[in-house]
Amino acid sequence: MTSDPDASREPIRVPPTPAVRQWAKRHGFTPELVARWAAFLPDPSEVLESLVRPVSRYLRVNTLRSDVDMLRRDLESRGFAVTPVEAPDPRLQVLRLDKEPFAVSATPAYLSGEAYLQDLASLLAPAAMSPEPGERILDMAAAPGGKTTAVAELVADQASILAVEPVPHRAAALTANLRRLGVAGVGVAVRRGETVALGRGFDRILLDAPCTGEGVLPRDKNRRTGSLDEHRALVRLQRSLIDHAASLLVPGGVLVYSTCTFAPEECEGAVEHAVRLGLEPQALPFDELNGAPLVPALERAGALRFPNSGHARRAFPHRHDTLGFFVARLGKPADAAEPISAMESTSAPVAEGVASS
Amino acid sequence: MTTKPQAAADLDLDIGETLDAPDEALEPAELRDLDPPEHEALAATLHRYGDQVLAKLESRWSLKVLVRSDLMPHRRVIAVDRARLADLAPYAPIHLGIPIAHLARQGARLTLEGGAMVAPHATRRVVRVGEKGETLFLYGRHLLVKSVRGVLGHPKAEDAVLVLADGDGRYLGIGVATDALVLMRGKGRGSGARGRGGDERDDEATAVRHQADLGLYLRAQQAVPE
Repeated sequence: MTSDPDASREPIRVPPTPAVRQWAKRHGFTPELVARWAAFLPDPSEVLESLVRPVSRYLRVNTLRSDVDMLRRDLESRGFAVTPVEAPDPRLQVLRLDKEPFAVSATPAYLSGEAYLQDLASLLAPAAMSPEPGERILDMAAAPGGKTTAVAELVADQASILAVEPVPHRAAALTANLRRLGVAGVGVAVRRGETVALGRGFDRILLDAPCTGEGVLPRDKNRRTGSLDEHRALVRLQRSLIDHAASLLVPGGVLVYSTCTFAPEECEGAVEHAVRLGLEPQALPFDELNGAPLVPALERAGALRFPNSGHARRAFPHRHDTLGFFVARLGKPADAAEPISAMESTSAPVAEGVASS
Repeated sequence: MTTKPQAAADLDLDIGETLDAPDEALEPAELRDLDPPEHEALAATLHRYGDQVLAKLESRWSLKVLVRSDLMPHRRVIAVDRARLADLAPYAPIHLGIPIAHLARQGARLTLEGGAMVAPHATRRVVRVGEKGETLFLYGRHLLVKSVRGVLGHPKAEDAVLVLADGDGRYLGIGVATDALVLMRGKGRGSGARGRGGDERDDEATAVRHQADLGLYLRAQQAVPE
């Protein structure tokens, strides 16, 4: 048993049993993926069944332009049925879409930027940051802007948010959403997250990392045939982003790391890597979602142990009626005199997977 | 029926030219103050909508020019909070604050958001529409005479106008006044009264040609997953 970082970069392979193969074949999944979920996740039968059923759709109210009562009245007057649900942060307002006579994105309210279609679980990440007005905030993988705009709403558009996205057409989508929702406090930089200049540093960093997206399966059937080979490159990228985030944080700053996947290498494994850099796990400011307790992070998966991930939490479709999600909050020690550099970590050499500035 | 828009002089249909940019790296943008000719051009455009519009914007925001010199070079006036400017300008963002106008040789042209920022302060060139007209306009359709509930000022044909929802004053977008709108005003309509004096009017005539509405952000956007 080991928490060796190099070992954690290799995907854990679990031989599929006949029952797993049968289920995978019936539903069009890659058997090796199903075998991993069955081995690592709590309530595996419920998890698997939830991946082939839809979850509810949610609408986040753009509190810069509207409020939940106004939006609710507007939508109900057009034949929609909606229900207010509790968001992970009381500053956010969310409606569950119970009946859509036509696409909500075609309503004047939506077109005018009064709402944003967003899964409830993904709001765990901005809420975990507990951002405040006046802060300098970095969103390291921002497109298309759902979490970025949620952060802007949390601070009433009174913080400086740098939203980074390396792919131009994704940056364009991000910019369009910022413009549609009328957010003024965000700057968009088209670059890789690992190349953001240090500058004065950031009080809060959101790293909603590129991942294998297994938690999105209830909504995206294409991911059923994913491959374990994707994990290695993504894990390397995630570690590289965490390395750089650690250096960009001011002493006392907060990093929120999140993914929408079940893969422990990309979730708890990433947290362990961050802790090895000197970041400290912190409790999340919430413990439930949609009326159900969030699930504690895994303590182990295969030969790997995750002793420092106890504060992190997971959301599951069958428990929370949302997409799958993972969120962890880490703090940079207040007495950190110098920016923490990846050069000081005990992990693999910095040059591996780290882009040059 | 939606037809290809005929842009008025002070309108910019830009909603983000990067929406069509090929998949290549974009150069960082330059951020600087407006020079005197640029300030004058902006003032001239905003004055069309009210005497104090520019002054009110400048009292609340820092107005800067964001210069892009990549595949589609342009100069854009942005409104940005002063604290945000200090924090974010060093990162050479390609987008910052709220883009309110595009600077070209012909002068300053309002963007869609520029219209939204001008609307609360506008005392002329504003057209208010009823609920059905609101929905149609947000779907890219022209406004008919029968949809118009009120007009501020006396726009001439081919003048740019701001379009607002009559019920809650919600900003919808930008259009271009037609002869039919001018005719409405001349025959006593458009300030709340309808059909005075027994004048013949064509309710089905186009009063405002659609130019840009807030729905453009969604219609033009490529689907990008979260």
